[in-house]
Amino acid sequence: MRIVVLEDNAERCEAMRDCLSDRLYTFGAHFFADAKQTIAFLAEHADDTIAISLDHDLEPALVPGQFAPDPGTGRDVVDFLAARPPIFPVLIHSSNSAAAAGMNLALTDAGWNTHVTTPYGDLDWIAELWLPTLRRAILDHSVTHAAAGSH
Amino acid sequence: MHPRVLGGGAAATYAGDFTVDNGQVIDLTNLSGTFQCDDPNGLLAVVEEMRQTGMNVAVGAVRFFPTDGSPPIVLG
Repeated sequence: MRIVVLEDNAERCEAMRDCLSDRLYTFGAHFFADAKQTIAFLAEHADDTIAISLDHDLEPALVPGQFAPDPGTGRDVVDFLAARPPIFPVLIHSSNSAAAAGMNLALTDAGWNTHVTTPYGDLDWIAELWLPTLRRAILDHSVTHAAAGSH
Repeated sequence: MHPRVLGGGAAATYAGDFTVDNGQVIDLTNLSGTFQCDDPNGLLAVVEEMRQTGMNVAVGAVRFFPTDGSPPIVLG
C-alpha cells in the first residue's frame, strides 16, 4: 500500500522521506507538490492508500522563463476526499492554523479520521510529532487480524 | 547509539519499535528500517520474552507489518 504526502517544501520532503524509509519502509511513499496531481493520483489509487498527509499552502514551482501553474492548496484535496466515503486516515500538517482547522472540520464532518500536526522548530516536528502520529494513525486504522484474516 | 553497540557487537535477534503508555506496552511492531525483520514468529518470540520479564503487553498490541506493504496484522 501507499503513503501519500502533499508537501511543496524540499527540506520537509527530504526529512519526511528519511522518516518513512526508516520506520514505515514497507509502504510506498508518493510525494506531490500540486493538489491536482494529488487528486489525480488518489482518483486512481485511493483503495491502495493507507494514509495521506496534507499541507495547505503550496508555492508554485518557479522555473525562470516558464509559466508556473497554480499548485492549488491542500483544501482542494480535502474537498475531493470529503465527497467520498472515508477509507484511510488523513494527517493535516500545516502552519496555517486557520486553514488546517477548516480542512479538519470538512473531513470530520464527512466521517474521515483526521490528525492535525502543527509544525514547530524548523524540521524537528517531522521526526518528533509527524512520524509518530502517522505511525499511530496507521496502527489504529488499518489492521488485519491474523485469526480472522480479514479487515 | 547504534543497536550493534548496545548489543556488544553481536548480531541482533530481532528489531522493531513499541509504545509504552502508563506502564503498558500498547503497541509493538517489527518496524525497523535498519534491520527490516520479516518473520512474524520472531516478533511473537520477542513478546514472549518481554512478558517473561514482567512487562505488561496489552492484548492486541502486537502488530506485524508484512514486507509486501499490506496493512499491519494483529498477532496477539
